[in-house]
Amino acid sequence: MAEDKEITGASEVDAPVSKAKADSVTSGKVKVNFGVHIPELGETYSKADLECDQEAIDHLIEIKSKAITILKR
Amino acid sequence: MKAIKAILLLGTAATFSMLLGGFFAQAIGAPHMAVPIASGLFAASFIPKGDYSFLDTVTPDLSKLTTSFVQFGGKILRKHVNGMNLKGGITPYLGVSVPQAMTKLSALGGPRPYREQDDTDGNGAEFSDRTLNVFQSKWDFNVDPEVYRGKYLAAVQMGATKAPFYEYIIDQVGTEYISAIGNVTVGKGVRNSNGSGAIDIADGWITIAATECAKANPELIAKAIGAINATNGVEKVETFAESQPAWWREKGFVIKCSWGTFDAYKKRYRTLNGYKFEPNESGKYALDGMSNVFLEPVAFITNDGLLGVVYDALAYGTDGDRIQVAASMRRNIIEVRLMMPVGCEFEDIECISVSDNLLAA
Repeated sequence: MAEDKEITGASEVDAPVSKAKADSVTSGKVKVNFGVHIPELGETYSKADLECDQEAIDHLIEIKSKAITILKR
Repeated sequence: MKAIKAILLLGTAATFSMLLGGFFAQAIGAPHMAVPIASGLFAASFIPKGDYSFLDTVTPDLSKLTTSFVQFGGKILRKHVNGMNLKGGITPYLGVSVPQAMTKLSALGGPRPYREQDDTDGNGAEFSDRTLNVFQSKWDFNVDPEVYRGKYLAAVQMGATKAPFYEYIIDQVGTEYISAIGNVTVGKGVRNSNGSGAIDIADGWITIAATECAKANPELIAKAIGAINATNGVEKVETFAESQPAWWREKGFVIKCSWGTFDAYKKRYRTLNGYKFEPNESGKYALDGMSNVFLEPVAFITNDGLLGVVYDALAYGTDGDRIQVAASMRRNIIEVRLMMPVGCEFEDIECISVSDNLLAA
């Protein structure tokens, strides 16, 4: 079983974005690093909020935010 | 007997003086000086015995030497580095000899409609603070003058004057010292007293912000702006600016970014508008429609993150008394230790705003 690999650089995140977008934070494929305010959604999320809000996570994946780390299996 | 001994000594001194005087006079090609030189040597033989050790403590003045070599050398190119950029958003604290509290006063409660009764519950003043600590740093090195003596590096033009080569070397080390602190320490520095690099000297502003966000400080919540590139630079920076509180907007603030982000903004601006991104009459780059919000590239940010600052709340601390150049001699080796205390903090964390990508590892 392959170990999870953290994608930390912006350029590395580019390729798997479309696939990663379908991933669920609850399935353990996205790690939330800290809470954020998302201006486009007009909402502030704590780390715990983000961990159970798929819409916010999808947005963060879309904009390549470093508030989350996509875990690649 | 004593008289005979004295006469013999006198005769010996006179004889040697005449011989040596004649020899020196011939050697220098001036035989007519034989008598004066011999007389001088004879007189010198009467100088009494005594303690002349003080002569050993006289330091030779070699400063004249430094001007003789520079004429042979060409221009010396120095490694060019950034200086310390203490422009917008930064307040220097220059005398931090002990941890310095930066005290903030807030009023509790608020105004309310008039009524006759007292309503003082919950009203008053509140003080809070953040503490600026500075940590001593150093740069040790040795200079062996013999490596350079007689070479064109023996003296160089430094400003309007010629400087001895070792001063020139120390000056260059000092320049690169400041550069390392300005480029590395104040940004992503992480205090590690056992470390060996500029990044270990003190916590930088980015590190402090990351720490506050990681512990969910409600006064510093990162703005989710995401990646910035040449296809979205203007939109992303404007989103960041527009998401700040109204009092920020009224006061005006600085957005610090990397040169890469600045380039992305510039290119996107040109694409959108068909003309270049121009500075205002003060040389500052104001955002469109926000004449009091300025984009400022800095070396200590190296990714696509943004750091917003209002009221110059980035505190940079040092201690003038402990900025030192200690130099000593070991044989002919000049041992030098440059020292400078460094510390970073936020004066008021409500005056700081960060984008999510600034905090990336």
